[in-house]
Amino acid sequence: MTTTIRHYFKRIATHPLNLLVFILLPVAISVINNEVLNVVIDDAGAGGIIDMSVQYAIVSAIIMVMFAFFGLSLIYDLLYDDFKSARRWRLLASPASLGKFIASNAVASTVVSLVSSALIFLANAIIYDAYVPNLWAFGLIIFVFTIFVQIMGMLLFLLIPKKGTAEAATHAIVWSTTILAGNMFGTINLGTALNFVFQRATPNALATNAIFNLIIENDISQAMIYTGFIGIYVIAAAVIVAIVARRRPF
Amino acid sequence: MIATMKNLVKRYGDTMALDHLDLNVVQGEILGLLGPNGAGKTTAIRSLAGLIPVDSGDIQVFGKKQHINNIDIKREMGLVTQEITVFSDLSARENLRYFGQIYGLKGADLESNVDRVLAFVGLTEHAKKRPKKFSGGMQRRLNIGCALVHRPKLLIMDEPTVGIDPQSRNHILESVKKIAEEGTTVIYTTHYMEEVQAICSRIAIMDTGRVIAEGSLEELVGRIQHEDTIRMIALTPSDALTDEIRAISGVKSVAVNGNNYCIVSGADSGNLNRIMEIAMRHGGIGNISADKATLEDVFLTLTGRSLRDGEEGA
Repeated sequence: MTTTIRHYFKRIATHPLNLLVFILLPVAISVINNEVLNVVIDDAGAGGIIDMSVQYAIVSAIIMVMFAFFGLSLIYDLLYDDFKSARRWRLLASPASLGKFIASNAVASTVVSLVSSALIFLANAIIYDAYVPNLWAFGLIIFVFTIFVQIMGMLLFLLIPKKGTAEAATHAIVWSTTILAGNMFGTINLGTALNFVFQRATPNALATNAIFNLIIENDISQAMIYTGFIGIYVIAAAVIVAIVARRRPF
Repeated sequence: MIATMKNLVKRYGDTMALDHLDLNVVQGEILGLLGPNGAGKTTAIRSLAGLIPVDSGDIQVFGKKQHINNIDIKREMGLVTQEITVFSDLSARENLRYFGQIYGLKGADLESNVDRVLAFVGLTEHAKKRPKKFSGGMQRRLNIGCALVHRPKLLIMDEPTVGIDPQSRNHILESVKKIAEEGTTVIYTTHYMEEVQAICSRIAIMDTGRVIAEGSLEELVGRIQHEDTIRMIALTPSDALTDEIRAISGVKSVAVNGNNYCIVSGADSGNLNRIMEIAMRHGGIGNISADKATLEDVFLTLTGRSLRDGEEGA
């Protein structure tokens, strides 16, 4: 198993596009956003009044959740390359099982996604002194959300025949939920029901709200309730993946 | 027998990919699986490799019953895919090492086998390069090498020379002979009859999901060839020359048109040499040739179609 995990980790972690999209870009965007935040706060004359370390942490968290969500493509990228091409015959002709390849890929992409999140926070903690009251709870929220994203990525792989279509679907899902949750251009009023869905009920809204509760309110209980709801999404997604995988073996 | 397939049936919807296929593979041979695209060759070898289930029939490999994910059998088997299926983002050495590892090799054994295969496929000097920098022929060789690292007892090669230049093709064909000489049984599928004629010790011709003929090249050709047609240009044609040729045992007819002689003789009668001797005594020969039947003729006779008809995948 370690051989196949190392194999997938190497291919994911050394791919130039992955390094750009999941390491350099989110770190740069979060740093730029916090720099903009500094200017805005200074212009408003609010420096010294607002706890900036909390504000920095909030900005970092929003970027972190968004890029963790883009981690959908991390899991399916190599699955498409390896198992929706002739290479699958070569891999399946080996004594290693299909489950071993998929599990190894999932472990590797989860690790890369978590490292991406950790680096975003670390960069902002070092540069801006971004502060989170409970790192373990913070880490748990990101971990559970990342697991959900990886299972969701697997589902996209099972349901969508072509990688290009899956990538388009990923962009549609991530951008729409992030924008409609109000995390990009401010709150958008879509009516009570849709406001609830996009600001409270989507997995990324739950993750963002859990982090806000942790950072702003220092309310671990509420943060864990939100995390629990993400956990329900994890279980539901896992069940759906199991059902789809049985009906549509690839 | 290293592998047997008995009465295999495999359907894809209404299409019968394998139609009660029977095929045996003898240990140590290079078995050529010849047939046009869509004949069922790829389905047959995927079934043999335990990659796809069959609807009915029995497959035995190394004396064990084959089924999906039979790890014991897979460990001793190698598969060379028709497409290039190496990892373009890993070097040649890393590719070989990975395929060795997933077949259970490790440590010094792994490294020595990787070195052996790099040398065998002529890529030692390119071991650190990634396949995307390779020529088509080099990629094909690495593609084959990845199936050899674990020293399989049975190597299945699915049209391994598709789309490459003649020089690389010859290199690969020579490699296949060497692989067999080292004790590996090879199943070689192709729709190029020249390839099976060049390397295979036995040939099975497939069409519409069945083996329609099998045997050595000579046996297959012998089935349809009862006559040789000898064409000769005599320098000094004469009635005496014609009469003397007609008198040879096994000669069925002699047609003369000016200097051109067309002689029909029993197959493998050895009359070509006799005719040459006589013609030399009667003034010499401008040119002489004997038309022999080929596998293409065998296939045409058996199916009424050409081997290269249709280009759909099997």
